[in-house]
Amino acid sequence: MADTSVSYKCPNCSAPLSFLPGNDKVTCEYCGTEFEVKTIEEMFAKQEERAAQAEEAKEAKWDTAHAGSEFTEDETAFLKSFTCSTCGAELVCDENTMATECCYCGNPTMIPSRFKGMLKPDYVIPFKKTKEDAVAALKKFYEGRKLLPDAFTANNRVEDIQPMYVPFWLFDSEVTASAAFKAENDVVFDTADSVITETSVYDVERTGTMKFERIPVDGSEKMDDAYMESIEPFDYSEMVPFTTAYLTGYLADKYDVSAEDSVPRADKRVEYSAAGVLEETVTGYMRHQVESCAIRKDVGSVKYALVPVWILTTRYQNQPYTFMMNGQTGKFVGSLPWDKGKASKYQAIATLIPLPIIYFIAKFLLN
Amino acid sequence: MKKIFAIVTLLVSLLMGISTGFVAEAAEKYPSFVDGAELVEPVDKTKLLSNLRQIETKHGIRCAVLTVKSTQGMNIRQYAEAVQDKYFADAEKGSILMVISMDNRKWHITTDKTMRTKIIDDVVTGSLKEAFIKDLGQGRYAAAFNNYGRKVDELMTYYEKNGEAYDPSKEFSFGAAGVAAIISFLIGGGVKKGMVDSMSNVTNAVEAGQYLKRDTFNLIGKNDRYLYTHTTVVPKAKSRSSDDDSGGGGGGGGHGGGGGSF
Repeated sequence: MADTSVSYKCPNCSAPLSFLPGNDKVTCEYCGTEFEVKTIEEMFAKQEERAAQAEEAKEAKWDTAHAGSEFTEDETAFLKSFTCSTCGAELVCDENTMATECCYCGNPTMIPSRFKGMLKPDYVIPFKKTKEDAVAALKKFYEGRKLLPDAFTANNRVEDIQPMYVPFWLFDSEVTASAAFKAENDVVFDTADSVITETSVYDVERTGTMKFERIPVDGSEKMDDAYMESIEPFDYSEMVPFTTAYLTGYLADKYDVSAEDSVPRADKRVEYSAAGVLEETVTGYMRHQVESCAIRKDVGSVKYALVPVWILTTRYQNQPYTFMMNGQTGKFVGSLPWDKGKASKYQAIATLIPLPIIYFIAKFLLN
Repeated sequence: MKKIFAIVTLLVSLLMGISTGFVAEAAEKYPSFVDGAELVEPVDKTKLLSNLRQIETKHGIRCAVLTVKSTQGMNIRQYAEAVQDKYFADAEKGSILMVISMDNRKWHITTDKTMRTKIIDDVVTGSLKEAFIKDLGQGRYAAAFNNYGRKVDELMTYYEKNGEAYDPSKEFSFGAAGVAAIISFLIGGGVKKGMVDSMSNVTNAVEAGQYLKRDTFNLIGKNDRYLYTHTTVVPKAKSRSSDDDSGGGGGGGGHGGGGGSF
């Protein structure tokens, strides 16, 4: 039976190959042999082609009617099995997995059939941060969190740490933005009996063109949008043309949210920022506020890229807590549990300390 | 100066005329109640005078009331202070004088330097005023003056007992406590919310400013159109005229007290 997946193994010692964060070459961790990314890409291209053909053949013979009674057809559509080329184990993953590692032998494994019928990423931002960096960042993230439950830090064990290339759409757009503002100026006259304020109101219009480059929007349904937006920004100067070699040793998903479906998220951010830029030109007034803003996209283009993300999962009181780290910059984000008792204690302290001071101020003002 | 002289002359003649009807101690030349405006019935007048004398004897002070039909255009505070300095300055433990002017329905209470340390200005315009102002406004003059005397007695007793003047600002204020509790509770809630919020740094991005190429911005349209002007007038708080000094405040010679209208 032909392999339906491709393991990136060292041609020298057959050990698993991994792209080490911070390097521009693929290195065998066992014998130390270094390979150019291009060399690896060419070396395994044929192998991937064959694996893809084997997978196609396997798919063609997939008869869901006889898959058993435990899964519906819908379920089998999401659960796909592959054969590890190293140990022969059956790997099960979801429909979007492009790269993973064998849970039995740990071999980094590509699933080339997933590359077919989809866009090839234009770019990839290679991992720079290691697993150790991610664990250290998590520990640092706990520091100084006064409301963190004691049991969480005492008993906490990281359940899972996964490096994953997450599909992102990078939107370029040139826009023409028009915004209307209501602006006001005051002239104050101080007379013997009263203070007279004359407020002049103006209708202010501004129109401008501007260009946004590479606004990132994640193209993965299962990745929380807020988390993905929180780990921004990425340093695009380190972004390189995509090759599968960078995926060795990492999980990688293909997009399941199309670029078209991601456009509204990018547009919303552009609109907000464009209004802000135009607002900066409203000068000479004491006050102003945005009344309306309209954006016309003159030129728009999108690129597809894979960006590196470390995903850490821990559990507290049977509740999973997920943290994510930008695999390039190390920016760490997540939501920690908080102790209600501690929160009440700090609230009481913060209430009682200013109480006497405010009392005397209030008494002085009221008398 | 001419006016002051005229008023004091008038007052002296009043004092001399009325004082003959009272049993006064030899040490005190001037009665504690002079009703130049004829506001109080004779029977009440006797009783009031007796009450005031009793208070004066009890505390060793002068506690007097003077009613006049008019201050002859003179500022009531200056009028009261002039009378006090002239006729009630000999009290060892201080003197307090209430003057009522009926032509403009004004009252003023003046305290000398010594009395001012025993009955502070804020109390004069506060609890002492509250003791008589309602009766004064409704024409119950005898009751008003008796209540004035009773309050002075009470304040002097407090001073003698505690060794310091009654000061409402030193008392516990339930209003201030309520305000402080509300504000402190809000601060506490804000601190808690801030601490809880700090447990997560996950947030949606709303803008794309860091992806904007600043040098590509080109302002191609700019139009500022005047629409209208609106005017707001905020009246100033009226400063106290010297003739309507409801607040406390020292006049010349260390006088204290305060006054107002009724």
